[in-house]
Amino acid sequence: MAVTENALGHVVLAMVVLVVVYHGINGVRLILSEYGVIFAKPSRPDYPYKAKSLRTIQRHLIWVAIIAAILAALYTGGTLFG
Amino acid sequence: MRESTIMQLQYGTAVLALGLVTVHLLMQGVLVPYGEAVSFQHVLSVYRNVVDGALLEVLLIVVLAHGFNGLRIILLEWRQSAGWTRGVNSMVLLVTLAAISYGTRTVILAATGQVT
Amino acid sequence: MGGEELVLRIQRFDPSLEKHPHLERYAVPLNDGMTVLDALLYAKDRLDHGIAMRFSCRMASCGSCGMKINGRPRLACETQLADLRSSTVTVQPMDNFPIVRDLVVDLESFFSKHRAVSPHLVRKGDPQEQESPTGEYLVTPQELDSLVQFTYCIKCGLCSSSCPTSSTDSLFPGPQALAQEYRYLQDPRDEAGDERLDLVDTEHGVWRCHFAGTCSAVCPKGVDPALGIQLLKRHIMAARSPFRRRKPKASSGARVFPNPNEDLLKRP
Repeated sequence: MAVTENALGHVVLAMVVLVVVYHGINGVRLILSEYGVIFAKPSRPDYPYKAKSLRTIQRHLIWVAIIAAILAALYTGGTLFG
Repeated sequence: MRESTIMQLQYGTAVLALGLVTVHLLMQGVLVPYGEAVSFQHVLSVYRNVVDGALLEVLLIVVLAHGFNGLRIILLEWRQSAGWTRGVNSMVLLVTLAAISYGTRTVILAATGQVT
Repeated sequence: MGGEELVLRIQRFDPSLEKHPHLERYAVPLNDGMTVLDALLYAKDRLDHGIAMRFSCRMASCGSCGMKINGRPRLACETQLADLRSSTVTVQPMDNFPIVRDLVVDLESFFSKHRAVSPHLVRKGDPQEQESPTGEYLVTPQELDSLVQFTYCIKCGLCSSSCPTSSTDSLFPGPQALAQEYRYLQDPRDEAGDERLDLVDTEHGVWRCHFAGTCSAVCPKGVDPALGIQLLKRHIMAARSPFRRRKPKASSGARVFPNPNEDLLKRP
């Protein structure tokens, strides 16, 4: 489509790819968390009360999502502009 | 329908969409050069292949269901009233079915060679 | 820290007299070990008697002094000024609640959502046992471990104040109520499991939590409500999955053992 075959269109498509990839990987994180696959068991809290839910691998998956989204957007931009 | 059932459908369509989009990108974006992949005739040939066409149809349904249910959730969190809830649920269902119908029409037209 | 002064900015607002809140500045002398509550009480006592705030135990036990301190929901009594590492401290009322005056917010919706999840054990059978108990309902250490952290909740409201869903969806129960729902669902002495699931498996129930995690980040007692909510979702998925194994309903888990002191109890 001619509408997207210009610089602005390429940037918009790269942004779409960035958002979709982040949404997808973050969604996988949520699904795994809500099905309890990557969750810690409850236990008696001890001072300084650091929440277990914020320390498990699922928080690292957020960074995986961000980095993968940026890489995918860059790849898309390179393909469209290249 | 219980909200937990709707959410199971949401997660199921999410996983299915991720898988199908990955397959679609591999087939059309990696195995085929990008310039050729987005050419009109190549896209038509994809629809005319039964397996590829079926994959695209399933992807259409899955992505629309997932997307419009997500929109429904956003709208329900935005405002709260009985009328708003009923309206959002009904409108989203209607729009989803309409979008799936229109997309399926496009797939059928392309697959049966009525688009050249 | 002795001899220094702190600039304390307190949000002042009387809805009956003003349209918008504003910040007022107070100079408070700093002492070692001072908390935000100490600074607020100094300002109220010496500088402006009209500052409205809630506080009580001064030891992070009652949950009364929940406020937004330098942009983050915290308990004023356990927030050390030294830990804030700032010569200016801004204190505002908790978000997501209507303001009564200054730092005092209306917590009626918070408590009504808590009451709505029946935060008590529900026994359906054995009314005779309820009236004239012959023993105790036992909970094993393993069963206790699965729910004890959620019993530490002091109903301070910080979690609901930080929840992004609570800020837009007025019908969302909030992290506190949902975590308590899980606490009672996990308790083997409770017999209202199906009713509890029906209560939260709704359009504005547990599924509107998107796991931002801010509730657990601000909880001062380590309750980790986000963990409770995700476990609640897992419980619902397992209980209402079309693939679940249909097995006979398990016993309530309540084991009544004769009370060895029964004779003592019968004495007048």
